[in-house]
Amino acid sequence: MKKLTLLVLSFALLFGYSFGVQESTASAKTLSGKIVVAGSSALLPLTQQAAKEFKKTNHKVSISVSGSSSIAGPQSVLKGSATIGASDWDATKPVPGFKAFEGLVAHKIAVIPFATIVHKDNKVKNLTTKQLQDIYTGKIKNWKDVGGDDQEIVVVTRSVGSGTRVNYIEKALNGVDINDKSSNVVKAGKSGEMVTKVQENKYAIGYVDLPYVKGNIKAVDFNGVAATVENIKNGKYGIWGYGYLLTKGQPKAADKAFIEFIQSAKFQKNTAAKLKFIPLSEMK
Amino acid sequence: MKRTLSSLIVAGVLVSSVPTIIPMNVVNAAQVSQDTKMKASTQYVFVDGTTQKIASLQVNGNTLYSVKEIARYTQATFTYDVKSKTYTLAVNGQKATFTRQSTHITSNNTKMELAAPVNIFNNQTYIDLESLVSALGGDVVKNEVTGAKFIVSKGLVSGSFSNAKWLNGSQILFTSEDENAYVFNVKTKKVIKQFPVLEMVSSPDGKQAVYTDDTGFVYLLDFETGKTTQISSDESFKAEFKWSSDGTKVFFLQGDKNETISSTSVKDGSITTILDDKVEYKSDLVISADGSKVFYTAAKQAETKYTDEAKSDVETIVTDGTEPQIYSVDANVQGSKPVAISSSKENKFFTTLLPNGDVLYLGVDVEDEEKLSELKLVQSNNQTTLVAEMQIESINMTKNGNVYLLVTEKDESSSIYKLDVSTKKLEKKLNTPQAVTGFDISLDEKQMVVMVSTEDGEKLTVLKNGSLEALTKTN
Repeated sequence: MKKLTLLVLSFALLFGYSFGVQESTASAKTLSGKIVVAGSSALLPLTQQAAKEFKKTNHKVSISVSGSSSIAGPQSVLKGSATIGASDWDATKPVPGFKAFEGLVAHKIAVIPFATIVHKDNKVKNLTTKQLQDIYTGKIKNWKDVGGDDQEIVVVTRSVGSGTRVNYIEKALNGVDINDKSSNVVKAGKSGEMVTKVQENKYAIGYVDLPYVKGNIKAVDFNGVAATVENIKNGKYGIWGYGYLLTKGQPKAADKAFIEFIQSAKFQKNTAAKLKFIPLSEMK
Repeated sequence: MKRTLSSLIVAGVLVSSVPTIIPMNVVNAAQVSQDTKMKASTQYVFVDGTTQKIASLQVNGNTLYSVKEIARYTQATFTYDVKSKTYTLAVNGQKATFTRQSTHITSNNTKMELAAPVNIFNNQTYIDLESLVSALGGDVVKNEVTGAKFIVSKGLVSGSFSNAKWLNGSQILFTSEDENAYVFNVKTKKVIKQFPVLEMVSSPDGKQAVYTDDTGFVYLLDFETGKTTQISSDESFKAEFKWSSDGTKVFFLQGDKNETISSTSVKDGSITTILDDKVEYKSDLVISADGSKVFYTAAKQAETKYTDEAKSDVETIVTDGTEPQIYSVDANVQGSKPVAISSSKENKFFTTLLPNGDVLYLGVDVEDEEKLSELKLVQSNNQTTLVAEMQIESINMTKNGNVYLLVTEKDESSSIYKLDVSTKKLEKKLNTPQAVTGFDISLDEKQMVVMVSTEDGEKLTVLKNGSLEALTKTN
């Protein structure tokens, strides 16, 4: 009764009154702290967009997000210079060229589709696993051997440590390593750089995550299957991998909340899908 | 409006017995029984937005309502089986049954306890309102201050809802976690239209909205006709749609790294680049009323340092200088260079452009955990703190240029204040122990929709006569 009286007496303000409401509260505890995300450049659009949206409701959290290469993700977390590492592979397990990183926990955040790319004027539309293996090991060096013009192939590849490279070797080249020493090989430091190099050279070939495929580059079919989100979902197209966030042990406080935010259905279905990543829930 | 208010007061008197606001002539239909514990009267109840008079009976502190009249107003069929002495009401596939003096009601074969037993008085059958309406698939919303009751005959829309915005004096737009947007009538508490879109931004006149999807195309939705038109076939990622005040253009951040600021014509979908300076991950886009100035926030990316030239071994991540800053750029001058209007290390949110050209933003110190947020005012090159020592959660500026603040108080209750920027005076408009996550003020500034966080998700309420009245319910 006392509370009700107080409520009535406080009628002063809103549109003439001010009010209280007698219901219990579920106020969330304010998160604070500094999140530093480093690693994969392929996952950068996703982690940056998540940081923007996460901060809107977590004002006390500072988030610094950067993208370089997947290997920088687990390394920087182990060295303590990042709280979350972004990687295009599960770095807690060994992959060709890299041992497992001990003491880290991997959190799946999205499906990353990858594609073999060429200049849009290149007449080659499809490449098989064998043809790609031969191109990336230096056995085939001319487009005419795979149905193209009589021109030398410029092979663009990411450096060792790139998650896109790890996935491409595993899924597109069926585990056959890239011959970096071949005379026609050019290196690209980041996904953006890869795109630029292929855009600028009509006879270049490269690989990149699907969201980057636009403008003057096109995705080449793989074993007769188009590189589309739909073909990944229905299991026909195989060049894709999961994106991971890595933490030293189980994440806590702000790091945990940030990872859960990226994994949330709302973020996955809305932002991740618009950025051309495939939401985790859509994989069969 | 007068009629509505007086009706609320009538009901408030009868339900909550607040002596300070009792009009003397309201219990005109009262009829006192021989048993002093029973009193018949008439209650005013809102049924789907319309005020109705329903005969009621007060028994031992409980208010029961006429079954026949509830059936009439909820359009339920009403039968009484003499042999089994069973009442049956049915509507919209829901069936409620109960007997004389019953302490239970059965809803579609599920037995539920009544708040008070069924009662017969002067050949009229009375029952607990909430129980019967609930058994028929509806909901009863009670105004906690006035006691007024509102029957939603088909039930409140259920789910977790957010992003509520007023479209006009009676309708709001909001979105749900199940990827739908709803146009909703606040007066009837009913969904008018539903669209399978997770995020859309309504136009200044509240008649249309724009949205994008994973194609990157821009779509225009007309609320009246429900017709969607694709206005742009550009495939790039787009975020943070902002309408120009005249409703002819929509500004947005473009590119999967949000590096470009662009606008599209609503009429022909043509895209104009406002700023393409390669600075990535811009956010908090704000457009001046005349469209001549654009404000945004951006932060430098951290630098990865390696121990080797092959960049295979990370030395450290350098985060110095990566704090977000606010910039402005002249939208009318091609090639105009952005100018930073902030330089501090704090997090910055809710950049708000006042009608006189000054800029407000919320500054949050991330180094000092205990320090509360501060409302900053930027006038030309001069920056001052307008409000300190308050935990401000969000800022809303109305079309009239009035500024409202959502604040978490020290006791964890939520308040909404109106701020007079020139005098720094704060006028409290709402205080509630509920966890308010957002709010929106109607165009005439007479109504407020308030989003509240609960353990089961976010629900929408409207501030009415001092109480946050539910508009939706959580699952």
